[in-house]
Amino acid sequence: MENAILFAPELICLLMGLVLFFCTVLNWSYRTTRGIAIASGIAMIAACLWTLSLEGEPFFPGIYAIDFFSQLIKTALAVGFLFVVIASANPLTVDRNGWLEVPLFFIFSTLGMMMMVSATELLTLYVAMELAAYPVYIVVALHRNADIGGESAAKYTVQGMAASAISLYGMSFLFGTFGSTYFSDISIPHAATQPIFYLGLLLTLAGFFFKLGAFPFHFWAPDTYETAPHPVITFIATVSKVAAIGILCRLLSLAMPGGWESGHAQTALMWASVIAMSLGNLAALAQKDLKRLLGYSTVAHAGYVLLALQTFAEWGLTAALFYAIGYFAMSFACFLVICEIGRSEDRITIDSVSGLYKRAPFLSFTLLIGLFGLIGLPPTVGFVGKWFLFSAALQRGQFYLVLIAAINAAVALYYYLLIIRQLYWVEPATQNTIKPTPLIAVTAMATIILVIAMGTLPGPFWDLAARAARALIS
Amino acid sequence: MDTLTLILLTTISPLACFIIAIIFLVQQPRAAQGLVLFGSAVSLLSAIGLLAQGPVEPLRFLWFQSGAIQLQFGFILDGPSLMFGVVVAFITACIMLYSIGYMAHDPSKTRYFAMLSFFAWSMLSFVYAVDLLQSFIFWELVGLSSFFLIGFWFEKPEAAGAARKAFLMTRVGDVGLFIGILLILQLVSNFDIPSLLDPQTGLSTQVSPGILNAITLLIFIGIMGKSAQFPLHTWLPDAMEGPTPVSALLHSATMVAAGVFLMIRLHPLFMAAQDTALIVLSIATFTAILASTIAMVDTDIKKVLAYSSISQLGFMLMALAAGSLFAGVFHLITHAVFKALLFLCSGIYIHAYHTNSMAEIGRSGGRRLKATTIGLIIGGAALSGVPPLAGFWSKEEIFAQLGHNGFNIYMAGAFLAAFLTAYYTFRMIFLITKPDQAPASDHSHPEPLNMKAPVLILTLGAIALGFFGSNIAHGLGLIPQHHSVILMIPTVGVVILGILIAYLDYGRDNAPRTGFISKIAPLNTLFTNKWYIDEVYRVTIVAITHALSRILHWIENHVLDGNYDRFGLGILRTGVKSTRIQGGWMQLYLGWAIILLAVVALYLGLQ
Amino acid sequence: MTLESYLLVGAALFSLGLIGALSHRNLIAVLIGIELMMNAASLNLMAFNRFVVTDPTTGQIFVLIIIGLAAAEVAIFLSIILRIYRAYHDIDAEKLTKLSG
Repeated sequence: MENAILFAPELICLLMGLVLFFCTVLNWSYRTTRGIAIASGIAMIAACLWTLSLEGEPFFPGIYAIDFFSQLIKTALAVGFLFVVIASANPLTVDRNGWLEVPLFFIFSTLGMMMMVSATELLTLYVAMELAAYPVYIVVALHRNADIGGESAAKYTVQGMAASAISLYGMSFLFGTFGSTYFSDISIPHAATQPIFYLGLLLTLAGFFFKLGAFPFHFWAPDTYETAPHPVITFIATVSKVAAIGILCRLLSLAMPGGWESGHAQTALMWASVIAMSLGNLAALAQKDLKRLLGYSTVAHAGYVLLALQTFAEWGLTAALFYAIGYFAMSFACFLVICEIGRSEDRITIDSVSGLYKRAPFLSFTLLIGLFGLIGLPPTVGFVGKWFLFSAALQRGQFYLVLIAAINAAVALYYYLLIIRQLYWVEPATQNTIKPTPLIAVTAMATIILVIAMGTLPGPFWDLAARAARALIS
Repeated sequence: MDTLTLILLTTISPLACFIIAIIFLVQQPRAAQGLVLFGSAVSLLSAIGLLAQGPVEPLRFLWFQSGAIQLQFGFILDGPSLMFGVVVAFITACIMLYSIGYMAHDPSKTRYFAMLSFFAWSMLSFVYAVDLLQSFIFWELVGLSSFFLIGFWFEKPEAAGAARKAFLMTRVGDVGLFIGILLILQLVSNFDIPSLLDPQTGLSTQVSPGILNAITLLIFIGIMGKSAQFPLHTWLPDAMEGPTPVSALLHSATMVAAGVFLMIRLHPLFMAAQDTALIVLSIATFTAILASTIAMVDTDIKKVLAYSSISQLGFMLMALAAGSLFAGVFHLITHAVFKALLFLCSGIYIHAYHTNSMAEIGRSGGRRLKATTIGLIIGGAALSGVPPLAGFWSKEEIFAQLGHNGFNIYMAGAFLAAFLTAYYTFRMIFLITKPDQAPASDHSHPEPLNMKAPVLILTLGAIALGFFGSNIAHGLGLIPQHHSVILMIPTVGVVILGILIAYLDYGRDNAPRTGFISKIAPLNTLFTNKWYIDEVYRVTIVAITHALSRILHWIENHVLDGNYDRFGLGILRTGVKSTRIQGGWMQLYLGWAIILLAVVALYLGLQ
Repeated sequence: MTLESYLLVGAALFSLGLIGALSHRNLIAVLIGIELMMNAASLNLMAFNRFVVTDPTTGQIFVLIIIGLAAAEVAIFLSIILRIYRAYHDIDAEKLTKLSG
């Protein structure tokens, strides 16, 4: 029973997934299915909050850990799932025959991510990672135009499968180095000096870098962002990023304290960070497609997060976790608006948001706040979060790294400002107003409040992140 | 009332008004207007209350703490912040009052007043900030709210462009400032301004002079952006596209003054960094001359005032860099009053005659608006430094300081700038009051009372403020020095010379009505074209951007993709389809990733 | 047979798979290449299991699960290929370049 309580969020997720499966079998209406999905999202959040401060290792000791870190990330994942389901009120870009499957695949992918952040053993981690990935491969393909859907799904899937195969090959080396798949054995530093270990670690990280969209596995991001159906890409851009940052924190925390932190792993991460942020921002400068632009921006943000992670310090982990939650809110604010304004458009270019201020004042305000966050303007979480990330690197004395990041943040202003200009200062092409439903308006309001609240009163959120980071390290 | 209540009333009431107005009063512009005005009055009265209480210890509150790092927010209540706080609140209140008339028929009045209120909140919070990071946050917010106010008439494409230019350009400076702040964090992990400035234990004692020079120089880059110093000054004249009251608020008294105020705040650091001080002095002097020469030839009244602002900000920075805190603060305060006055006067003319051209205003009968013309003359005289108006006393202090410290070249530059100031100001006055042809018919309506009242108040301020110099010095904790009359003679001399030449060129009957500078053709062309600085930017920065885009495009086509036929399209010019950094061949992406991994693995293997 | 020889075979398999995935135009061949990469990982795991690890079951379980997941992966990817085939009547990877136009 105690095990079941510890496992409650995943159990509810699984059960509701089965219920949603029956919805598709019985071919219920999309309204009902989405209602059930929303209810299950709320139930998952409740379960996560209920188990928030519990600790333990249900069922199989050593391979599955429930701690504050995992439960915090799970809460974020559950909230993300709920928000994404709410945002996909009219998934017109999805094949009409596939509507019912969308919440179903989302919930199974969420289940995979939940298990991923709790996994403390390589095999569990691998299985959870694949469980999180497969449903997303399918929903990307569910675009209403078979050619667009098939093409973007093929690109995403080939790269995803290759990344996970590389990851698996790396895991085999980790297994060989330590003779065990348990994280508790892997964190022992004695064997961690051989080249084979570094090779294994590097290859293992590939799969997670792919999820995060970090250099050098970022190539899928712009294409998939541009072409995947809006609700799907909302899921990939928000929920999946939280999980990716979470699992990277878990993996890298093995190196702390005094493990295999310094040296090659740190150098590799540092370069990945610098290149990702520079490349993402420079490439975004030339984009006209709004979703593609956000795809490059996500690459740049992955770079910022890696900046904190490569410090291998508790402060860096905390900053990364804090930023993960903040980034979720900021990018959700942007994608929620994209889902709403692009209900029936396949491509959202920068011109699509022209004069949105006149057509949908509240939505454009939501997008504005999201963009302010991504720029890093106070008083949004973008500013405080970047400040924490930068100060993590500064504490290690990496001033020049932070210098590059600061200049990057300044360059980024330019392309975000282009969007803001279109939003407020260009005449709309059409006059039809867009009125969000009350539920979506409330969600948008909640997102805005989260972005502002984390920016003005970071204390409580930081404490949560710090507690989670401590749970990881101890 | 105790200090905490007063300071909270000062800073929070504009914010509260902003929130209430923007959420609840969008449909009731009159109520929003009244509320915002009330909030501004509360803020002004509390600021005056604080000033009356005199300097007290800073108030500090914990904003965020984790381990060794703590961030605080709070209020520093010393001479500069108390006095400048009152000036900000006062000018804001005047401008809100004036805006009631000026914006009477604007459909989105609520948004306008709410943004004014938001601006007042960020500016006041910046002035009172006790922590460097807090300063930076509100510094950014000041920039953000001015971005919205400049672009308020976003239907005008020029306004939108100007707002973007202002934001981007000041952000260039902000990056410098931000890096400077990061450097301070790296070195001393402390942002508390009073303890950073402490002469015994502060920053200047903890780092080497070279580092201190670097830090202050980085901070000065931020100041250059905000206070529109060369070469980051070109956004300010463009920003005149906003409503005139906004120009009066942002580009005379408050937003651009934020840069100068930051230098006042961190003055001891700049004094300890000798090299930086010299650089500041040079740039400020050059900017003062450069901006005055452009103002000499411009015909748009708001542009003239804008360049004049740039030039006067240069004067303030000169004073601070030469070592006189008092002269800087004094000129900041007097300038805030008389420049706001001049902008408000220009706003009345523009409102009445729908033209920005000074000659046109004169021809339409600008002098018939009696109160405004008096305001213009008094404000102009104060700007030129005609004794005994406000500007004379504060400029006098600057000259005295430059002479005192033996900065002779800079002193000469300052005299040149002062001469030019007198010249272009009286050129403006003569163009408006002595038109070349008699105004046709009198169809102008007298200025409304709520626009006239602020002008009158500010006129009185411009007359009287000069005599409060010693009070301001006391407020800063300094003993005012009395300068002998003989020292004032050259100052008065250049001013009289400037006025005289302006009179000869524009004022007397049968005046040529062209400036003396037009006889020197190359200089005239240079000044008219604003020293070609925008063009230089266009050639250099834009060219670099294009080159970069071309490189990216080349990589896209040749390295990542292999579609050679698309080469040659400029990346920024082409449409959606071809602006790709990557081609579509997915295996190439994967290949790139693998090659990178292999290189790293090889590197590791060789280690 | 030593551990090294197994690892070398594994590396060879991995490289072959990689080359296959990178060089083939046919999506099914790409899929086969990726399967080869996973098999290389499986072989590595078994080799380490035999020579290094004290507990002999871990690697075997790992490999069994990889085989299962690989089958699922194939099913998913084939369905995507089917969808592409319906749209293009072709499964040539190089022709999938609509996105970058």
